[in-house]
Amino acid sequence: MVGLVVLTLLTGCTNYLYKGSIRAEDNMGKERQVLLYWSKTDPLIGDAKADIAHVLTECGSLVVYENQPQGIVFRGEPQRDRPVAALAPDMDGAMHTFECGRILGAQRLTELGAGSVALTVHCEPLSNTFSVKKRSYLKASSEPYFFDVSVHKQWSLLGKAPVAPAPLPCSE
Amino acid sequence: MSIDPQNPRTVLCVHGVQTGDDDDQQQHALIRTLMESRAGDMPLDFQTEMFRYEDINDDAYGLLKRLFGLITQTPAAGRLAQQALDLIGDVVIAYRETGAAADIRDTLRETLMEIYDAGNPCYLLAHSLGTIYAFDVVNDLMREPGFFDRHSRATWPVQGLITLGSPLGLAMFQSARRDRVSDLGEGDNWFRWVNYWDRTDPVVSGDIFGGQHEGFSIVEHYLSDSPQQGWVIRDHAVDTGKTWLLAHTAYWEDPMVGDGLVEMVAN
Repeated sequence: MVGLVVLTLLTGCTNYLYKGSIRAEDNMGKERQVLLYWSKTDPLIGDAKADIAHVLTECGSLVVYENQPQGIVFRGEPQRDRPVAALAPDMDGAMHTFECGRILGAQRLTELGAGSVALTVHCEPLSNTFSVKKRSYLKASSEPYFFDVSVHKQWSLLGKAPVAPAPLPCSE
Repeated sequence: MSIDPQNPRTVLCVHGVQTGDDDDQQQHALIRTLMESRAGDMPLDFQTEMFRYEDINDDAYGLLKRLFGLITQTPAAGRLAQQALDLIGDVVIAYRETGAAADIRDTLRETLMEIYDAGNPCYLLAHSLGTIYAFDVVNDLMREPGFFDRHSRATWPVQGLITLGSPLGLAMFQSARRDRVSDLGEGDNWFRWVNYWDRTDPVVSGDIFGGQHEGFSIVEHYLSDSPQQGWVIRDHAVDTGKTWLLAHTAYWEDPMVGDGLVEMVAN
């Protein structure tokens, strides 16, 4: 009995899955379905955890927004992303990290709930000789994109792997 | 020989601390299922393979293991003691840099060379203690002449490194051979290392009770501002949906890890 109580305290939690989608142009000017999702786990003991959100574009590439000291940021990488000069913030001379977007209105993903979530994109994707298809994601824009996010929650004794939304079908 | 980007890609999986023997290590099947579920319509031709070293570990402390079985008073206690030794022994071998650790590195290198000689792009995925060996072998290869010309990824035996639940941030695994990553030198290609970790994973945090690791960086401290380094290193704090020890074994089925893995292997 004591063991069960200890186990419950150590592993019992509530799992949340947040998701929302929009239709918007990708960097190649094609209208696409775009999906935003993230999970959060709130344990019986300790703080809730939610650190990364994924944006999946129909026929496109993965973009990660993640908790960083400066907010929830899409960190660009050399050879994979290129800042669109008029939109990108100062890169501070960093060669392997630069900001390509952020989720607005919160400093941490755990602060976000269901409802409207706004995010920005100010880079464009790059491909390379090893890319099996041309990389693409939401078009860089001076205006944020707004997702209407819903939540599904579930209590679990041992925790549960997030049931992520299926990748968006691509007819190309 | 050189890598042909048109060839099928190989994801070579390296397990971590385990009980049992080599036949019990089948995590590559989980990774295949995970990638298939997250690839959608991506035209990605890939295979997953398993690098196993549990038998090398078992040989290294087999005598001690049998002795434990003999001196414990009941068969159940004997099995329990043997399993505990199985786990602890794996850690000690890596920590103390024994001959068995060198054998594991050599065998992993040979496996990577077989994939390289076939001309297939290889992506190295390692879990837990396996990340120590993966880190060592990738960096050793970068110091060898003939490999990892930064101007041409066709010379790279490993195209990218993915680590899951790595203890590389813990002081006990810091050593002279792991105080920095090997520079790639001049060129315009970047070697990607993506490290997934869960805030309550005790193997990452060192907190045996699963207390949350604060902060954002586990292995990004390896990044330098030197233009010669040539690495892109990313820590992604994934929420596995589980806590404590359960979080440590949950990466294999996490969809966000799957998304990241597909994205790396497809590029």
